[in-house]
Amino acid sequence: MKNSDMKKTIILLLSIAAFGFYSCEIDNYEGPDATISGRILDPDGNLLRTEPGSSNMRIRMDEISWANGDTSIAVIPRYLNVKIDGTYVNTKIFPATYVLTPVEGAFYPLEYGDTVVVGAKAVHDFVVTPYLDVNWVEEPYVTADSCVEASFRFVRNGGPNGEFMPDVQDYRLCISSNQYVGNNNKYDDLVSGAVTVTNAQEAVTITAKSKRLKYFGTDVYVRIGVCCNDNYKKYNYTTIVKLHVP
Amino acid sequence: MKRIIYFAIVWAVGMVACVDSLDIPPKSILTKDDIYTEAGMRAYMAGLYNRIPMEDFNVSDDGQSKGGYYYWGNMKWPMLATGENVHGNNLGMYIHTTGYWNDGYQVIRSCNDLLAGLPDYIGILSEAENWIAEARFIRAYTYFALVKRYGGVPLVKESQALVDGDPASLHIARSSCEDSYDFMLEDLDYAIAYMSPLKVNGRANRYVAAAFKSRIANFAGAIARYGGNFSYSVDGVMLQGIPAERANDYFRQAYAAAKVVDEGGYALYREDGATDNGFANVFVKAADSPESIFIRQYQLGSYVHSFDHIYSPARMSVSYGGRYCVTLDWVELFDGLPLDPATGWLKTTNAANQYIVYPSPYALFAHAEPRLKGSLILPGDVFKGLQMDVRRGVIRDSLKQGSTVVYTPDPDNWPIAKFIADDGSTTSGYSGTFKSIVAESTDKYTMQTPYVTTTGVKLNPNGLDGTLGGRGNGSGDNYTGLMGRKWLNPNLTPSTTTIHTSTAPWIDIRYAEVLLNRAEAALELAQNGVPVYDDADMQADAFDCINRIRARAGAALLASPADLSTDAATLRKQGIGGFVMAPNRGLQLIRIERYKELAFEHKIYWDLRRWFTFDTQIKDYRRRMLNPFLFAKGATLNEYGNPEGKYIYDTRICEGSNAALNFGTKYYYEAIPAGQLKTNPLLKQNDQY
Repeated sequence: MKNSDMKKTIILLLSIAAFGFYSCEIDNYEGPDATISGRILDPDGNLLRTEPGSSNMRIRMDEISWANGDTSIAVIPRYLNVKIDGTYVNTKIFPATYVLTPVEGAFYPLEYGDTVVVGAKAVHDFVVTPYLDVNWVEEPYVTADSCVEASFRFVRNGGPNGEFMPDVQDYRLCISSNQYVGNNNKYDDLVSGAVTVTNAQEAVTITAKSKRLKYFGTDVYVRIGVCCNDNYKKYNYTTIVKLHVP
Repeated sequence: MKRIIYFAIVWAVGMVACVDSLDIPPKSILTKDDIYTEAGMRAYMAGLYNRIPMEDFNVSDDGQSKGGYYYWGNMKWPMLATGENVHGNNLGMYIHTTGYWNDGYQVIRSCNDLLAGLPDYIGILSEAENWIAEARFIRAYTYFALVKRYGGVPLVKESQALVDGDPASLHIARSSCEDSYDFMLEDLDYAIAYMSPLKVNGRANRYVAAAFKSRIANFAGAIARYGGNFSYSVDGVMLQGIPAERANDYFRQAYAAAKVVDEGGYALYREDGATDNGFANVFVKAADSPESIFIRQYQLGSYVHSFDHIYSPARMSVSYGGRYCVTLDWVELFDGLPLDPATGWLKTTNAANQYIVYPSPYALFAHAEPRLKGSLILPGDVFKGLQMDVRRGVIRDSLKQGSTVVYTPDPDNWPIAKFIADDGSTTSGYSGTFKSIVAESTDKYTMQTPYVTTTGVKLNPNGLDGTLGGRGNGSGDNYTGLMGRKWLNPNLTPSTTTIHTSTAPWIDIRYAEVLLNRAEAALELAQNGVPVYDDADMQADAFDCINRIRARAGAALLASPADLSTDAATLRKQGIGGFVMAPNRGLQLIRIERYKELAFEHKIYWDLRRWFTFDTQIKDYRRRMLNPFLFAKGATLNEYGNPEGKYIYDTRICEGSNAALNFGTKYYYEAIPAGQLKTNPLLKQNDQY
């Protein structure tokens, strides 16, 4: 093939290819650059004690603005994770109007979510009613035989709209080497599983004790969670206590 | 450059096609004239049978292409979730959500096409009426694969056509769960009434339809009775759940359908007696057994599976292998084992918490129920010409400090305290004394360094098929110390156990399941205000069915119908059978029987879903294992080169897969696939999604 023929062929093929690629416009839509953040609170204004990520609850996000009310367009929900302290933040959201609902947690399910317009930066707090308030009676300490011991009490909360109160099911003593302690992050060998509790033990002081600790001269983080027998079986927690193991 | 030229050629060829003389009907599209002939119908129906969503060997987590069906790599499948099975490809929980949808509606459309076309050929095609009934069976079978996943689904009852190019003309909303079951049951009633009684392998007849009906009517009954907490309605349509008052009606239908199957001459396979081989041969001889009701056959070159390749013990397969690790929790459901009546768990220690010494590798299972032996390849069993050799380690016969011998562990007078608590929660690895007295290896059988006894006997520390402490020498390791046998073809040799070559049939419905369906329906009726139905005493009938199953299995028989009582069920770790949850003792016995009889057959996963016990039974559940240890002292080698000697057994949480498993209640009904929600705006999503 002569050089000039080659050029012609290439030009011809390139122009064919150009036709073929005509539909491939550059995607010039803005990336998701909006931010949403906020807190999940109980009715008294305290932050909900939960687990990091989606293991103890998450926030369901239904986008409602782009379909313009056209019900023939299905909107698939997306979910936001939360932080262990009951706050949440996500900086990669498309600006739009969303219905946000805290779901799958140890609190009475919300019938309706909150409609939130997410512009450049949105802040939104939720109020949920936890099934239980769990609090220390005697904060954890290291016993003489090198176990962790603590006592706690739980109180059952009524539903905000008179909902059926789920039965209390079990509690867990959770011990971890780091501050993200919870049912999803704990030493399994130090505690033999969940302990059954009943509604009758409400407001009664319950003492929990671990097996002998394995590592010494270090810190551990401790908290106790109590769970109810609802669909999700997630935990309401005490505060996290940092302990030094001598 | 070459690519550009190819591109140009393809483009040029594309242009050439635009010539009028080639404008003829495409050969690849079948027309009525092709299908509605004697041979055409047979070919078309064979194709349909090939596409029905049968949970056979080729079920997997592959949700991309076929919704979880028709994929050879069956490593991840439902029995990992129920306490039946665990292996290196899936150490945690597995939920079988594969988005089956499109393929189902394609099969349903084919059935609807036939139901519209075939009536014109009654009297012309010899079997037209039978084909119609068969198409309705296949339609119901396919709908069931959808309904058991999603609850109520859109019921496409006739072949649809696009009107004015508007996709909205095809949109159908979901019917209620109740209507969906009733629609399937109606199809099956028609099939039972009009189908041929002739038994042909791989093809349905009226008894197959009846047997299948007993299965799905029990599903509907159980959902009505136990699924109330998970009922969910949208716009007045109960998409999840069935009104509780329908329960007895469905159980009556299930019972009656199961009785119809008896008219077909099906029976339990008993040619080899109540022996281990007798039970194993139910599956090995599936193609000729009177027990097989509905089977799928395979053929090299068209449709095969790789079950033998993937699930044989690793040493008995060319590669892969070893995935058939069975949990100890399942084994403890069987008779003839030294179970602790207080816990229902295997007890291999004495009152002083020291190991009991067993005189041989076979002694522990010597008196086990034949059905268990037929379901497992136990230590000492010879399979494919090789003898199973399972160990976690060898107890040394001399312990030295420096060069001084300080102990000589002797099985007869050297008691060993239990290494690790077996309490369902202790997950620690072995340590302390264990490390000094046990010779172990983490290497595969091909490369273990033998332990040499003081008398010069060379012992593979972990046996040729043993557990390796779960330290990840490959996915085919023995994770539980117990390997499965059901379905494995004993006629293959290790070197012919290769990938994509297995052709042993799958049994989708067998007579034992029908008996268990019947027993369950009967007891549900007996306990809920219907002591007598169809002139039969329901409790006595359930008792009779269970004992027929047990007699063939070689299990202990129930003493009287009163055993199927409404007393409280045994709870986990509080007695024998406590692993399987149920509302009362009678139903617990029936459910345990299903666990024992139907394990590894894709039945248990769906049972736990329809009984709605999944989230309580598989809750913080950690799979358990059995670790055998051989005393080096006194060990000799047998003709297979495997050691004979005294053993102790450690029961504990699986070393290699110790995670706590949980089943989320959202999975009682799966999410309608997002793509379908976008396609059909009338579809409503299930609860919790």
